[in-house]
Amino acid sequence: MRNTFIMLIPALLLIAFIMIVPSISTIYYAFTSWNGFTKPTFIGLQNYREIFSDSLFWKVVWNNIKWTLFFLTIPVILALIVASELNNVPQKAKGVFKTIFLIPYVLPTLAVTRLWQAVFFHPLHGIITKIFNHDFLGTPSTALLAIAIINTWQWWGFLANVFSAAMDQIDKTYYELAHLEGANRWQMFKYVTLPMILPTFIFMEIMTVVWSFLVFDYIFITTQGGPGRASEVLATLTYKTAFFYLKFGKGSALATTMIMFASVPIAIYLRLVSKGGERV
Amino acid sequence: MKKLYRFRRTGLIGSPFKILILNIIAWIIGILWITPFIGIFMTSIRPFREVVLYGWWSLSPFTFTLKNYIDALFNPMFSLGRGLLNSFIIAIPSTLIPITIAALTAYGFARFSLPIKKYLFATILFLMAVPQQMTIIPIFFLLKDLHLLNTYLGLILVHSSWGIPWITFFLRNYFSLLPAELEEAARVDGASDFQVFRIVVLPLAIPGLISAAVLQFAWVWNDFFFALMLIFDPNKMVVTQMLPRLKGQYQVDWGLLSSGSIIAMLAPLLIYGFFNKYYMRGFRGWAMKR
Repeated sequence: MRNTFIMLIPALLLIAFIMIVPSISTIYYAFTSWNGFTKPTFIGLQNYREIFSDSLFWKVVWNNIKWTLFFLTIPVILALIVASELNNVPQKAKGVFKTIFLIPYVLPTLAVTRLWQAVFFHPLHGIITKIFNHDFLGTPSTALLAIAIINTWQWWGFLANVFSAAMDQIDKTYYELAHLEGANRWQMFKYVTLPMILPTFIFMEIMTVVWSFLVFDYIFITTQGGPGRASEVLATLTYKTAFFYLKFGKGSALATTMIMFASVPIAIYLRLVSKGGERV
Repeated sequence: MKKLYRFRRTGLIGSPFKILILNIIAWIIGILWITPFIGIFMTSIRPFREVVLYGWWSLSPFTFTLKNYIDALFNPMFSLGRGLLNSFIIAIPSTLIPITIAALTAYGFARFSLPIKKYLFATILFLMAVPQQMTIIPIFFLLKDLHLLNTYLGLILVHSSWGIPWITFFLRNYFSLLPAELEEAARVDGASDFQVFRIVVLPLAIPGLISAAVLQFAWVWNDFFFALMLIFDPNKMVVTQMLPRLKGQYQVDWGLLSSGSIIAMLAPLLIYGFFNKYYMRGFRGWAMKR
């Protein structure tokens, strides 16, 4: 027991200084007016009043929600289909496929977006631009979708690998039994695979919601939130408010709204885990 | 006959037509999947003029050149070579430090009970929801006060602590999948908690440790937000900071950008390839226990 505590100390120290203390000071700054040079002055709830009455904020939250809905479905479905198909290929080939699918995930976001901007979404000679005769990234109504597609290309392989790892732990006799009962592939997926990987599936969906409210890199690199404010999300708005307009107080307040949104799924997860009786 | 029929119905053996369709779909997805790589590779090994005039997919005319790579690596204004070195200086300790610390923490979580463990664990999970943009302002001033702004060490500390929550979570899952009997046997033989951890647990957990290390390395290497905020000396800039500066003088030079992107992705790619076998086995750390 004393040893357990010693094991936790280095992590706690580092986390306390670099994550917890800064998080708490951000919450304090959220109630101040501060340009980064003079001392912050306490202004109560003024920042939040300004934020919540601004239609831009709600538009941006809606963009985050759209992003979340996209990532809860499209990449997950893709990954589930591929992961369960991988069960039917020989073990060696499976490893090769999984390796290939994961490659985009380890690549720098900057390189990945440049790659897509050059090859698919280039306003003049991108393949997708030419096929649809439409500049996806440059048009307000489709910019967010285009970024989501780029992100999916990088992300889905990771999900497929996670699901595949979870499926590997399913006892094969379940499938044989289902097979003897005459279950078709959809039924096998629905009654064997999905229930067996449910904890992994739920965790990934929960983290998807969290990450969707934190998304920054992809949007900042490709469109910087544009054109106009079309692809603005909470993180880019926070960053711009603080560092472009030098409103650090308001930026901090926006950041706290982000953590509020992102904490909800974590709280739900903790609830599920404690109800499910898993020993944490 | 009846057996074969059943196999067909279950789809384990499809009709030739079905197999053909599946093959076609798989090929289409495969080609779509690989196109960006081919495109950027083609752009990087040809003079940019040729790409602009004919498109990267046209093979006539085709002129091979390494000029883009040489320009990107040895540009006097923003040397990607220097950026690569800086990235390594930052990414290697930023991988080893959190893995070591988080491994200890995760083992504590996986094997021992502590009255406040539940709350600590919740804290760790909630920390995974903290946005970088939320803490960057106080971190900036903290590092400034410690005179760690614009230093390798400052960025390494930030990356390390940022890695701890997810690595702890991941390794906790991994450790709890390991059989506890060996550890108990070692304990019966009189080994202390730390000895058990070092001699019994760590060797068993190598795939999990490598898996976490590869991911953390890739994340640190690929990060540009923390570097953007905390490093501004051109001599200390990491490769992802250099990349956006690789533009042509009058118009965006995609040849230069493509070669730069390929150079920037080589390190995580090589590490991934090199440790691939362990990495894949370690993946079950993401699979939640039922």
